[in-house]
Amino acid sequence: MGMKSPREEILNPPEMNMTPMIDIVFQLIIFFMIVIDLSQKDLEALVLPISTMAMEDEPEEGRLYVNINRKGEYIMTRETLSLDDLEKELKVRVDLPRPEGKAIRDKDGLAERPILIRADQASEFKHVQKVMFLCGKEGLKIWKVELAAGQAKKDEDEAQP
Amino acid sequence: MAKQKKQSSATEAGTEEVKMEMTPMIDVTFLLLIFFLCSIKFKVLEGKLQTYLPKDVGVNTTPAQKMLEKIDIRIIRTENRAKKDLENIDVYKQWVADGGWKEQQVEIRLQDKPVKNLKELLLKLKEFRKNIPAPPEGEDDELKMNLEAMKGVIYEDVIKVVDVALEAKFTSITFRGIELDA
Repeated sequence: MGMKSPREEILNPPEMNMTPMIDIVFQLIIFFMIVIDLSQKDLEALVLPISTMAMEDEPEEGRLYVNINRKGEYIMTRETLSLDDLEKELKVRVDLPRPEGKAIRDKDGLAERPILIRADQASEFKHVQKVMFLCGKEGLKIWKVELAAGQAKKDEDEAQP
Repeated sequence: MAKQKKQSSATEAGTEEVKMEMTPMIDVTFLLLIFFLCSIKFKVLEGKLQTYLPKDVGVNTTPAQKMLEKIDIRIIRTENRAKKDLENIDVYKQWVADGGWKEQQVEIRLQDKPVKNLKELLLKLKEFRKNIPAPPEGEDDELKMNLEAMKGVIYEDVIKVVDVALEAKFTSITFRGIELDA
């Protein structure tokens, strides 16, 4: 492995080592493949109603998501559930461990975990009410309910007098 | 030049290993990477309306109590109304099960009197606010609102009315009229 003479360098030009680059590219592909699936599993493709008073959503870790589509079906993590099954599923998920320092229930037994109800703009409101009713039931007691809505665009607001 | 090449290949044949052609693999890999980069849907940040259910009783199933100041709003969807009414009431659309949209009227009633549209509702609600100003954040509002969504009312209708109520600084909104058996 001594020094190459100028003649040898002309004959065998130095080659770039591609292996680390290919490694990185494959790592990126694997990362994107995983992220693509995980980030969307809670959110169904719905048309949310636009609300001018909606505040920015800062998703809390471990928040529960219930999607309601136009047909009035309840969907949780890509699974369509009946109202009874939804109640069972919520009962299981509401008492799952939370990040350190955050209580599952307060001293009155109310769940500290919030729930986001994502209903399609064209779904009947009674479905949202039914989920709210479930939340108040014994064994669930979820009181932090968030309603998903699309935020009105800023320039639209400014256009209005 | 030709002479040199001949010479080098002759000497290399015996000593150098056969190398794999990496270029097509890198091409394919980059194409895959570009595909995933383009197709990834970044988590869309949505807005939300923060609501809290009553802490003491969960959902209150007892009849609404008589309050000092109570604002009643009722949202009704009507299908077969006379055409002349159309001019006075906002028309929204509703998605129907068999596909497509169906025109329906939405009637909003404030204290059991019809309101022409959302603008008028906002003005009327602001009038109520003149006498009883909005309390500081976190305190109980003296002005309670009962919102009753009748059969067939869709989520969008309710959000529109809630929007107006929030704009008029009504924070204590109760939803009524749940159909448990439907």
